[in-house]
Amino acid sequence: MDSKTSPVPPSRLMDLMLNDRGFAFDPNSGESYQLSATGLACLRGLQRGASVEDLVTQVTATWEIDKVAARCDIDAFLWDLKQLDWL
Amino acid sequence: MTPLRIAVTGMHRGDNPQPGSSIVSAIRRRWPDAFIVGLVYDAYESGIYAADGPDVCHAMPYPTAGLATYLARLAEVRLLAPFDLLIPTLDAEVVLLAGAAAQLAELGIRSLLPDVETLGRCSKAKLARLAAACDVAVPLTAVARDLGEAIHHAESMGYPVFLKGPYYDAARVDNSAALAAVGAGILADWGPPLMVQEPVQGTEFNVLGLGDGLGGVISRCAVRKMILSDKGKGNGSIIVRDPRLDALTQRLIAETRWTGPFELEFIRDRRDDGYRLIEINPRFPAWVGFPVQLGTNYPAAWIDWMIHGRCAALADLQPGRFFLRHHIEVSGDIGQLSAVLGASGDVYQSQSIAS
Repeated sequence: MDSKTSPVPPSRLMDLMLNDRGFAFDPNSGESYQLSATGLACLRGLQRGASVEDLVTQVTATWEIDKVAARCDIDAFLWDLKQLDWL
Repeated sequence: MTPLRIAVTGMHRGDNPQPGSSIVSAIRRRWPDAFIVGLVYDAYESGIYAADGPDVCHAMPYPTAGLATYLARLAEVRLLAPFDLLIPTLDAEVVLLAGAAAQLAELGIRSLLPDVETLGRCSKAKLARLAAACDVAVPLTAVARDLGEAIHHAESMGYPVFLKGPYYDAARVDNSAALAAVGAGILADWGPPLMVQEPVQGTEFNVLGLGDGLGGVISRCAVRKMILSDKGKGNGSIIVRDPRLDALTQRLIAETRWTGPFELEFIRDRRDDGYRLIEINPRFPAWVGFPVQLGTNYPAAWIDWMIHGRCAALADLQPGRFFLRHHIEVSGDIGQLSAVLGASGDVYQSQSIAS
């Protein structure tokens, strides 16, 4: 993913129903998921149109993790979202 | 104003539920004073004994007895318990009555159903042709007139396959011996043809809706099955909203100019995430009570349509609402049972017995 730009969030990502406990429901597939606190923060960030760099900044500011590890985890998370057609 | 007088079939609930009992409840929600006649085949159809069940129940001959016998019995029942509208809820009834609008009208009964030609196009044996006309994918399916032909198709396709009857029953079979045993049962119950179908791995989705007869969808509700019974029935489903599913539904209903309630059954194929149309049911599904509980009363809308040729707009249902099938016991007494089983009028009047 291009880390510089803030792409328009795809509609499936925008359609996701999330609650504060990290429960995510995809109204397109009818599947539901349990997210970690970091996953929830990232998904909400993506729904707002955040870039990968924005997500890294947010995660490192909130949790004790260095930038390289955070970037690596976020890339893996984004890959999972792509597999679900959410990105 | 004259109270609504309506007959409804399919009162069985339990393991393999029919829609009639939920339709009766839906009618009572909208028209508490409605006079509802339950048409049943068996005194053990549990909806007969439900607290908000029909006012009166009468036994009917099975549709296999033929149209003349069925209509004659409807005329008898109507003399005993007058009704003006009829909602058949079982596939075999819809097929039997689809071409009988004029005869029903002579009896003073109105029922708005798809025509015979449309039902034929939607039958399991011809579904692939209809789907092709609408650019809708279906699983590879072969039609067999007898067991020998079915075994031949299955061997060409490769086991396992699904074996289906013309109306009900579907089973996965892994070899020719199993196919012969299952197929013989289906043929004995429902007659030919048998459908041999490739198994598709994926999640099942159903769409309930109403067609306006002009190619439009009055309203629809799509669900994903979450919990399956051992017969593959949805014991729990959740509302979804997928534009692809909406588009497939629109195309099928536009092509058939569908009249009335329908249920489309799809599998979302794990291999390519595409939908495969499995079946079109020409009636309300057994889960029709679920959207009614959420405020979208499909049976009432359809009754409005039958009477007035229009209905109020139905509320869109929100994804994430789900149902779980919940079995409870209903109670009756031997007097009620004998009334339905009895040779005389096979009548059970719930209100008079309950009082």
